[in-house]
Amino acid sequence: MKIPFQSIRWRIQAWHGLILLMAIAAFCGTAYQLAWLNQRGRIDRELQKQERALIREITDRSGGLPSEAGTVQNKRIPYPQELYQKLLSGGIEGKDTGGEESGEESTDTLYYAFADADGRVLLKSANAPERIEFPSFSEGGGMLEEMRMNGTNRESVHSFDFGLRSVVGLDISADLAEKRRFAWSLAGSGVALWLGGLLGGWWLAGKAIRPIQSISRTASRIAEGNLNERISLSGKDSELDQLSRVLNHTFDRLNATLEQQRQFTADASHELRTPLTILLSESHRMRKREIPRSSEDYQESFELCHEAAERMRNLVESLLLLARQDSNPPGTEGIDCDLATVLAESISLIKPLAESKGIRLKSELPSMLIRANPELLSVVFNNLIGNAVQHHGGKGRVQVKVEANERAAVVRVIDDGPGISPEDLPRIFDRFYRVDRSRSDSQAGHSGLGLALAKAIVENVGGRIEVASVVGKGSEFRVVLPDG
Amino acid sequence: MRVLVIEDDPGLRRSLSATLQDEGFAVDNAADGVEGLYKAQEGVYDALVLDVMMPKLDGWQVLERLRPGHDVPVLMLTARDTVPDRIKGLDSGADDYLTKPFDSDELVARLRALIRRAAGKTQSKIDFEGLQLDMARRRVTRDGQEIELTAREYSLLEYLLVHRGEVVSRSDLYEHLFDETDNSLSNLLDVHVSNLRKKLGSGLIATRRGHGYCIE
Repeated sequence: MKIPFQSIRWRIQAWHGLILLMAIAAFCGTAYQLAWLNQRGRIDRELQKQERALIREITDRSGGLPSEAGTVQNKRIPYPQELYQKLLSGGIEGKDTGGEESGEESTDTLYYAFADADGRVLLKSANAPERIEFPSFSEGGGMLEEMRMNGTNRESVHSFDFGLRSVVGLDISADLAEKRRFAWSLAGSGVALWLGGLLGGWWLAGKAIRPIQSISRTASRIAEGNLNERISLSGKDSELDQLSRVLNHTFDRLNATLEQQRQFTADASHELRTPLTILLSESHRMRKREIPRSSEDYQESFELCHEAAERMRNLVESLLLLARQDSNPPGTEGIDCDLATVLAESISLIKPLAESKGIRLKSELPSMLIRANPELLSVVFNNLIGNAVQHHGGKGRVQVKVEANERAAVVRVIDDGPGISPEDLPRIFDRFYRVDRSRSDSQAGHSGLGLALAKAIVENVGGRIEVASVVGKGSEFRVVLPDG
Repeated sequence: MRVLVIEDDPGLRRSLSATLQDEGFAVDNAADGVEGLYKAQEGVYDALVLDVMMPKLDGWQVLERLRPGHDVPVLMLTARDTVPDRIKGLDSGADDYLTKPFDSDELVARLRALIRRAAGKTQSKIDFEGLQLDMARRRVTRDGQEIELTAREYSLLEYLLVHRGEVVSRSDLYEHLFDETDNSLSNLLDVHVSNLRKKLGSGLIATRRGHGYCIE
């Protein structure tokens, strides 16, 4: 809100004000125009009516001298023509104006002037303005008729082809004043309407923007570290609610990722701290001279230290491998390698342990070429086959099979060991999750990362890893690797 | 002093036991929370060393189930060192708290301090009729002259001196000075008492027949 005209509210307000102003101005202008046209039409009709009455009256009044106008005896000619002839004969000047003024009250502001074709004024009322402009005479053009303004007067102007030109006018300053008052009142109410509209628009824009401000405030609180806060929804499914939902969903996912990361770091440090404690405590113990020690004591202590160091090495290696899997985009680097060769190596590595536990390791390994990193693949299979053997109670068998699926190679590791309980099954691929900690801990070098690592590696080459297990009967792990 | 170590990691359990045994404690082990809870409830211990992250029952749960009936001092070991974790540990009835990795000297010192406080003593030195017992250095001197004692003899003398004025029964002594691998039916205790009498003078430890031993 530092630069007010940058804000949405101000911009909405500016456009709203502009459009409203234009609409009001157009409306008032039209209303003003219509009202004036209407009023002028009325004035004009009135003027024309009075003009006709005036001409008739003047003509008739001068009719008292029929001897001079002998041509108009039997046949009636139009009033203007008759008037013109009478005017030319010049007998009706003086009396008219006087009679005119006192005769009718409605025409006390009416004035008139008549002229011939050359512009000579034949008759003019006393209240007529000094300068009267007669229309130019047009020969043979029939009658010319015009309404015009002359100062504050409205004039009806006629020009006849027989020579008469007349101007009859009316002072309409009262009407003009009324017109001005009407204009002012229109402008006043227009401005009032505009201001009211502006206020309403400002309120409306503010109301529309308030949820956005609330969203931005909440979002900035979340950005400051309060990750559990969420934007509250109004429940109306408006556009802003949709935006809020999208944002909340984003925050949820961010929070979950952060939480996962935090948990992973805590677990990793926990896994590292225990062997570190053993190393520290054993080395400290052996350094003390005052207690006599046998060589067996030293031997045992060194074994403990070595085991601890090995655990740390395995853990660090797994962590590094996992981190590399996480940062590598899927489907990078790979060479053509034979699944059978990789599996045979893994099996020969685990064979001694299997034999010592009385477990038969059976394998069906037809040659199958796939494109992958053989070192990473062997990490996967070492983990799967190693797990099957290590978690086996002893006396049984572990089978490794390679099968060709359409467009995929499937490696199955089947054991008849103790199985995995349904509540553990969904979580065995979680990092640092252990089905039975006390047991796996007795085998030094178990980090709890093996299956997580296997999953990450397989998924990185576009494959997937599945597990099915029945408690007491055994488990089957399936690794599906895409061909080529 | 008899201590129970409840720790799921076999390497660490072995190392902790060895360290404490070197310092003259009688040490029992438990590999998980369930076994640890059972032993803590059944046996008599001067202190418990309890790991937090364990299978079956974790450290908090062991503490929770143990606390109403037993007020044995408990030292918790944990890999989590955030302030909320420490507060949770102390609030749920732990007497002290150590974060892995720790210095084993610190562990021993804290354990001794816990046991001393539980016995109502705050001093680490005891003066008794010209005899000075330094519990931190595990040494006994008379008028500045050091008296050589074996670890067991020292523990026996320390226990009797801490509980001086009370009659300490033979079974008490067995429970506090010997771990579960020692045979309580043997006459080891008599041998240690007689050795102590030889080194410190026969008047110090009195035998109450049918009851036990006492230093008055």
